[in-house]
Amino acid sequence: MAANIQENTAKPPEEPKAVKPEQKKTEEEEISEEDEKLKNDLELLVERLTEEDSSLYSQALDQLKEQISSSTTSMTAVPKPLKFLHPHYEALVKAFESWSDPALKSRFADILSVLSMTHSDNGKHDALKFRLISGEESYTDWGHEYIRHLALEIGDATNESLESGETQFDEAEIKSIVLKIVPFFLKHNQEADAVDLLLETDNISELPQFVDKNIFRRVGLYLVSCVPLLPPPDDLEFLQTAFAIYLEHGELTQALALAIRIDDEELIESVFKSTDDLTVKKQLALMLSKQNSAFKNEEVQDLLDNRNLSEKFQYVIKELNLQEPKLPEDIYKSHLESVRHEATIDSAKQNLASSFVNAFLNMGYGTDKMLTENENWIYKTKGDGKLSTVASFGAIHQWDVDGLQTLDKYLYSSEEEIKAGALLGMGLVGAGVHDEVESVLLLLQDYVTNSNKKLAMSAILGLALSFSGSQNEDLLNLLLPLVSNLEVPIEVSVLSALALGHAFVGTCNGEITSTILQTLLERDFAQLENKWIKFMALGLGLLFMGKAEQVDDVLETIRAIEHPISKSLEVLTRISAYAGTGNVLEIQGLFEILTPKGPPSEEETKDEDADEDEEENGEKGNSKADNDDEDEDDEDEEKKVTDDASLAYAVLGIAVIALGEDIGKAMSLRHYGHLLDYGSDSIRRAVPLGVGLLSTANPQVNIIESLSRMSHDQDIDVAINAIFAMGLIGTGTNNARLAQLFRQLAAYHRDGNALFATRIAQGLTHLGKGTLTLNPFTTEGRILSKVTLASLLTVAVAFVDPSFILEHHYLLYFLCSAARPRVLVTVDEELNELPVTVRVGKAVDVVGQAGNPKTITGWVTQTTPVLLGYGEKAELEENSEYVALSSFLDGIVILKKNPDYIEDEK
Amino acid sequence: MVKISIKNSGKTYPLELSLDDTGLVFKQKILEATRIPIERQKVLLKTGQLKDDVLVSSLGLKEGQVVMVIGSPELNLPVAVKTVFLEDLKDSDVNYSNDPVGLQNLGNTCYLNSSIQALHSIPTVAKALDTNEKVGEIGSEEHLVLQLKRVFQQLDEKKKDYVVPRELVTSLRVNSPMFNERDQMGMYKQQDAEEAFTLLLRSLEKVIGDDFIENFVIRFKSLTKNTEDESDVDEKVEQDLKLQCHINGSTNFLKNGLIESLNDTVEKRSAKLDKECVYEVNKKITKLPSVLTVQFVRFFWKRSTNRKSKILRKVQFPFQLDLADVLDDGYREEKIKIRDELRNVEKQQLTEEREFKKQKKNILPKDEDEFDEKQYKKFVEQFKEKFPKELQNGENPSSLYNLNAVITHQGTSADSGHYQAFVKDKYNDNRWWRFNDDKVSIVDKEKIESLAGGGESDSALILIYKGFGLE
Repeated sequence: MAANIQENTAKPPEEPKAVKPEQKKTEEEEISEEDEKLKNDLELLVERLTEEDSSLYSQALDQLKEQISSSTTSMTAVPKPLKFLHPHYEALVKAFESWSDPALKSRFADILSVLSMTHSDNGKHDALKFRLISGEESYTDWGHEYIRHLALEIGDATNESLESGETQFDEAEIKSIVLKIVPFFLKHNQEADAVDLLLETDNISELPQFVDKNIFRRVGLYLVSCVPLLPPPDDLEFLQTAFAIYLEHGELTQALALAIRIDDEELIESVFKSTDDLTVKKQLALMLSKQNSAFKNEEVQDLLDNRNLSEKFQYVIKELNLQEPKLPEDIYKSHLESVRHEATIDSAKQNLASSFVNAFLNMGYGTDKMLTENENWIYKTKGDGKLSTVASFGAIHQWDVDGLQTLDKYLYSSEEEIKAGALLGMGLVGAGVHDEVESVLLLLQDYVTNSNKKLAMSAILGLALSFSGSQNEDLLNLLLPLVSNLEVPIEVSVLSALALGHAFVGTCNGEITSTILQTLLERDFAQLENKWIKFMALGLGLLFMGKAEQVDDVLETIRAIEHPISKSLEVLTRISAYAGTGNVLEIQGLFEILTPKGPPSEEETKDEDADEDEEENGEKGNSKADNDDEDEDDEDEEKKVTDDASLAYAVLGIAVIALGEDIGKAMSLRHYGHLLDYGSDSIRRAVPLGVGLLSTANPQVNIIESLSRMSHDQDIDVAINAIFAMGLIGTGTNNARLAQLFRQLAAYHRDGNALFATRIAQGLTHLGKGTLTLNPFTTEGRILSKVTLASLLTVAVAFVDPSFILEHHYLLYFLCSAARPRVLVTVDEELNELPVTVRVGKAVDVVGQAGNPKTITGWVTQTTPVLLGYGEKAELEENSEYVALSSFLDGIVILKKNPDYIEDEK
Repeated sequence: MVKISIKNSGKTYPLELSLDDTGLVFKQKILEATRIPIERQKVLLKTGQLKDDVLVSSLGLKEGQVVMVIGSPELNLPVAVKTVFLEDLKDSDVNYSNDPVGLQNLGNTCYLNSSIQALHSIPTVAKALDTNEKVGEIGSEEHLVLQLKRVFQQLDEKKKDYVVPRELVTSLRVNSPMFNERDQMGMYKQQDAEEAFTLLLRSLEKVIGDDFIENFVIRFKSLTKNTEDESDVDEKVEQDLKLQCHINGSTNFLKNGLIESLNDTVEKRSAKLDKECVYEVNKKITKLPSVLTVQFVRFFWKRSTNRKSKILRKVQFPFQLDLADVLDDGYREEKIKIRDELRNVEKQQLTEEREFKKQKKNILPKDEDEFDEKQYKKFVEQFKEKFPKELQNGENPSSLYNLNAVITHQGTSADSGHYQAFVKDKYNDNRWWRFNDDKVSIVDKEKIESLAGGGESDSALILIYKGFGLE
């Protein structure tokens, strides 16, 4: 990056060469008297140096150096001495070679190194060559231009030797120069140049020793912002370097953010160890708790376990005056819908939708108007609808362990759906919250082996919701035997694997990995056609989330397995491993999967081709072709189904990988447009989900528009997914534009499922009445929350086949467990709420900008607690009475008195 | 002894336990404190849920520890309620909604679909069809009318999401070969909705009779004056089924167009002067029908393209049309008198409506619909009281009309583009139904205003006005 800039600035010295002789003559004629004298002086010195008389060398060198370094010049012009010496460079080099006295040679090389700037285009890296020959130490005195030129040559030389494999210069010697240049750069606020040079010479780990308290923030910022552009393993090294710098300078929350990003328990530990201040530790724990981290620390365990989350959320809703519960109708506003609802007959499906919407709306509020006041509402739904309705109590009481009490009584119901709902609800209550005794585990563990499939499944799902990211060993011992047990129903086995995937997300746990793979091999192929099986594959994938560097082995193993779902397994594991990296090669790999293959070589080819053609026809003309080949031969059809699923996952994968990197996001959106135009049915169905994942909780107008278009697609499944995706991008925003579109959609689709999806999307848009978010990035958008992404991905995978999730709607509760408040709450050192005024505005990218730029723009001043929208950032006011213990004003932030505070005299 | 407290439903209770107590004793103590029956107590400890036979000493309880107990003294489970769900009903039992249904497009038949929907919105047509039993061979008007009746019946039954008017289309094509035209590809061509509408009306006239068609007939006193010879005046009575609105470069409002169309000039040979003369034709209306059809003459034959082109100009039309100023003098006074009386009643209607809306903040859509229907029925009666006794057959009591249906065309020529019908809801003046073949949706009044034209999007072609205050 910076190499370009260097090249540009290094250019002026070359210019004299380009000047045509005639012009030069005229120039010479116009030369001023002063210059004439300088020129003559310099020529005299050159003459001295090229003469054989060595006695005058020393003096001549001194004078030459004096002349060059004392010349001042404007930015655009070449320094006069360099200009006049330019024609004599070759002669001087020749003279240099004939010299023998090492001391003199060293001094001469020093000067030649500078002079060579005017001859830098010969590719010989003369500046560097003479620098290495010269023993002079004070070369940084030559100034910026020279140092930058030198850095450029070092970069070029290193790249060349990397390409050719030959080393032109001694690495150790180059390193010693680099280590001298870097402090020079840093001293002059050129952190970008310093970092680039270290990157080019592969010495980034040397950086921390040179960074002082004045510049470490700038360096850290630059390092971190480089990460998405670097290929592995450089990216990791950058993160580690930045981590070391922040840790050394006591910027612990920044360091912790990076440690979480690197996902290294030891680094997290070292952050905690580096301070004795309990308050600081509390702040660190609060940050970590947002990730549902498995990290343990005695002193602050209650914070790590999110035990105060419910209390703080209650405080927020009280302060924001949101306590009054809302009814689904309050957001449907069906009197604004342009359709007449004849509410004479209850629709179980739409009532169920209301249950979900009620849960989404009043999530975590501990109270609602629809269910608590009229428990008979449960019977307004039927079948599994009752399950989800009872479980919605769990969402309403989410994070508050006392809510378990509300659900307990339903365990005594005689109906299995209601009992199962109570189990699932208990899991929701404890989503991400753990008390000392792990109440949820105690209450649910006996049910996971229940002979009633529904109870067992709900209990396991409940545990999955509650223990996401916890790495709980008891849970592992409880569920792992169920994964491999061939006697239990396949659904129980699959959900156990999924629950473990969530609990051990991104841990690469070998035991679980091998058990899942083993089970997939041992289970009957017939059972593997079960629609649930994809979640076992997903469970495996989640284990490797964000672990791109460790995934290769397991991918190798998967490829070796001959299995109907090995394709899906591979894709899911791959996309999960590269989640949020923006890795371009991986995205390309996914496109390769999505591109129709050329003429296939094996026997089945003809048949498949024909199928594909027919499918295309079917798409356009709605002909009978589709039905026909279903009847034709089932086997072929099945094979296609599994293949199709892997295509859909690849579509989701593009979003999952491109997340968190803006350019990649924009490009993916463009590609999705093409896939929608040309893809097969299953690809098209996944496209809206991908768009939803890309822009979760960030309803940008262009994305709303394109999803709105998809929501009117001919293929009702595409439409349903697009509607759901509109909910995803609107999560917790109360976005008015979306609300209006939903009202139109409610009137547009006559299909009950589409209406159901519309309701769900409406509920999501008003998640927690607009206080909660599903944005997978926490902490001012810097850290990818694996638990959130895992939950989103689970729901998206379920939606790949919309009819599946419409039947097993309770999977939607993964959205609840992934939700978290999008607020800033400021507290004092005792964690009591402490309202202060803050400024909230759009975050601005300040990487590499000069001085101390503002980090937010268009701000408004508010008193905490405040809601933070997507891409928004809060700042304490200048000269505030308090200072924050965290560099990120997001979530719960501890404030302490500002020692430098001067009270305003009004 | 160890002193602990237990927590249940947000309350804490202090409890004293002896180390050699069993779990059952522990539970007994909880029962005393909280009244939760032992079998429903869930005591959550680090070692797991409390079992009856363990010793308290083995639980590792610490002084002052808070133990969570789950359970409640009473269960109060909700009682199962039997609910009949939509999903449980068979399709045939379910009248999904009371919304009107659409008509399937059978290949460029939207011109017909929109005409049918527009006709269907006129109560007199439906009533007349109901009593008609005449049958005839295919190709005859009787057959066509019978098929139209069948389609109307299906539209009223609302059993399916849309009606397939296949027989009607066939009957129409046999009856009138111009609708049987096909293009090079063998597809049936798009037709002019106005022609289809008129044909259906004419067929109804022929089959059902003059009494019925009187509801549509407009009578004029037509005065033809030679501009060059004052004595060359011809007065006669004419009649038509529709008013035409010609559109020229200065037509901005329906009323202008109508007046211009009623006051035309023609060139013809004067027998008296024996040369071509310009004649002024002035028409005055002497009878207003209960249903007034207004046609925008948007299509004209364009030689250069060899097709019926469309004038895209925007011409605004009112929701309420007052024709008083194009009536014949004597007739006008009569109509204006009634008009003013009816308007007084309307005022009262509007006041009542406003009060209803003011009275509650959140009116359920259902209640609002009920109110609208009640009001409609009430005021139909009140309007009727004001009607004069001696009306001609099918005559509008006043000079006022309310817009009831609009047939629109989208596109640039009569043979292409798309026709739709917009029909006002019977009870609610602000709600309009849009019939786009089989898709029926609700639009608001603003949408209807936007049908005035001015571009290639939907623009009104035929307006159907219903006499004010008539059912």
